[in-house]
Amino acid sequence: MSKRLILFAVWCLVWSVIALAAAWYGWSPYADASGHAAQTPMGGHGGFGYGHFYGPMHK
Amino acid sequence: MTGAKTISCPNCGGSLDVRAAGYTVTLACRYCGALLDVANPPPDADARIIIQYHEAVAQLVLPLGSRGTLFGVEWEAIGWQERQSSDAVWTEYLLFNPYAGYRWLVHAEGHWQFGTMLVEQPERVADNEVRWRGQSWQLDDAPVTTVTNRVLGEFYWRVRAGETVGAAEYACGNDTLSLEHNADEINWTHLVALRPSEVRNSFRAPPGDLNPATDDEPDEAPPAMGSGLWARWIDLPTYAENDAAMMAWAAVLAIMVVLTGMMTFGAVTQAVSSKLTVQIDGPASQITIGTLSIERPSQRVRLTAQTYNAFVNTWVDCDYALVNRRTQQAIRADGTVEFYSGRDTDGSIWTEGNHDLTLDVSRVPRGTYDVVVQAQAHHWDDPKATAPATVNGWESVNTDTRDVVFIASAGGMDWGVFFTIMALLIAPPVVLLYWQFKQRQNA
Repeated sequence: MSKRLILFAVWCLVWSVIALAAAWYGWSPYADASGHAAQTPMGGHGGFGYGHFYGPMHK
Repeated sequence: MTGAKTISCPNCGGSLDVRAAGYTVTLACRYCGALLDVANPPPDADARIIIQYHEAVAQLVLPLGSRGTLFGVEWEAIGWQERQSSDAVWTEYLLFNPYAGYRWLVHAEGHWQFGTMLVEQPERVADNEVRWRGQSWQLDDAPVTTVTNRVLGEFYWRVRAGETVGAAEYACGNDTLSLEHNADEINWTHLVALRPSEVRNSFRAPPGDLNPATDDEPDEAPPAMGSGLWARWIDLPTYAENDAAMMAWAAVLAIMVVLTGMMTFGAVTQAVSSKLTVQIDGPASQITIGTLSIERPSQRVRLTAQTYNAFVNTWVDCDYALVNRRTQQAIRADGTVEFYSGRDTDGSIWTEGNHDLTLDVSRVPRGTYDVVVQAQAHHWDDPKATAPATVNGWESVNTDTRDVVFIASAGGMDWGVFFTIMALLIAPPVVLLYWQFKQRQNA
């Protein structure tokens, strides 16, 4: 087995483990929010539509 | 490159090029295999027959006359011999350059080595060790007796089939020192490993002399498997490199493992749902969708809001809170379901937005959560509309309330992560295949 194959096997192993760990722990870089972000006490709400422009973009 | 000379084989009449004229002693006819003495021909002929053969000659991976540049020198393959020990068969090409002399190109089970004959003798340190150029070389396997099965082309000594010599190999890293000896002489050769692609990309067969792949190339010739796209894939010149193909298969295997694992680990372990009726332009409504228990150290939570066709020119702000029952701390996420439709001045209907909203909350820590949502709905009036726009021509858009179904689930497959990992796994073999293909084209 060549060095290139061994390196690629390690590459596959590392990314596979990362993928499986991400699935198990529910981690995603594409998530809309994170449970590990600052948590706030319950009460009130986040403010509807803050920073959001409503209505269609259609011209 | 050399002063070539053409002679006729006295056995079969075939026309033979003597590529290293003046140096070559023995020539094996490429057509009939007869061994000819070209150093001392009789007065009325170009060569003298030493041994007459009538067997079919071998088809070679590198046809004799092929030229290639290795280590900065252009070599021409002028001779070939097939040799055998008790358990192995290999071939050796004799390379020639008029300024650099002779070298060997050894081909064994798909592996290539470039051999340089040594002028000096390595120093014997022990039965299984020699020293050469300051390095220790260890005996690799027991010494064997090798026999020359077949020969073709030109040689600078009296070569013949059936010749036997004692042989041993000493290794130091990837390099090898080969010892061959008989009653008359001892020869040492320094062998350096070459990649198959180096040989393949370096050597070109002379025009009209390209031989098909042969049994001399056991693990480099693409196997005949299938047709169509698959055949074209495996017939890529780079396939013979083997690495790229093995990497591609390893990547496919890894992708299958990742897909299976992610679908297993990412399976939905719990889901709750509730329907909320929100009033258009009215106050915010709140509902507890349900309770989710996260059993793992952390897990993904997917929040979905679904509306229906009557949901037109309306947006609903959704403000979620996952409230930890023990700590009363909330993890928040918010989004908007919005769907608009209108009529252009040319009468065509346009639409924008979706009837659904999906939010993913990553790494929600272990705990029990009440999933609470506050929703507030608004209506948008199309300033260009002369009549209320509809989606399918009959549903009204002017009701005062909208139903929204909220679903919260623990788990869920993350296709974004999967496709990212898939790209990372498949990229190296694809890049390697492409690079090798370009190298091949440029060669």
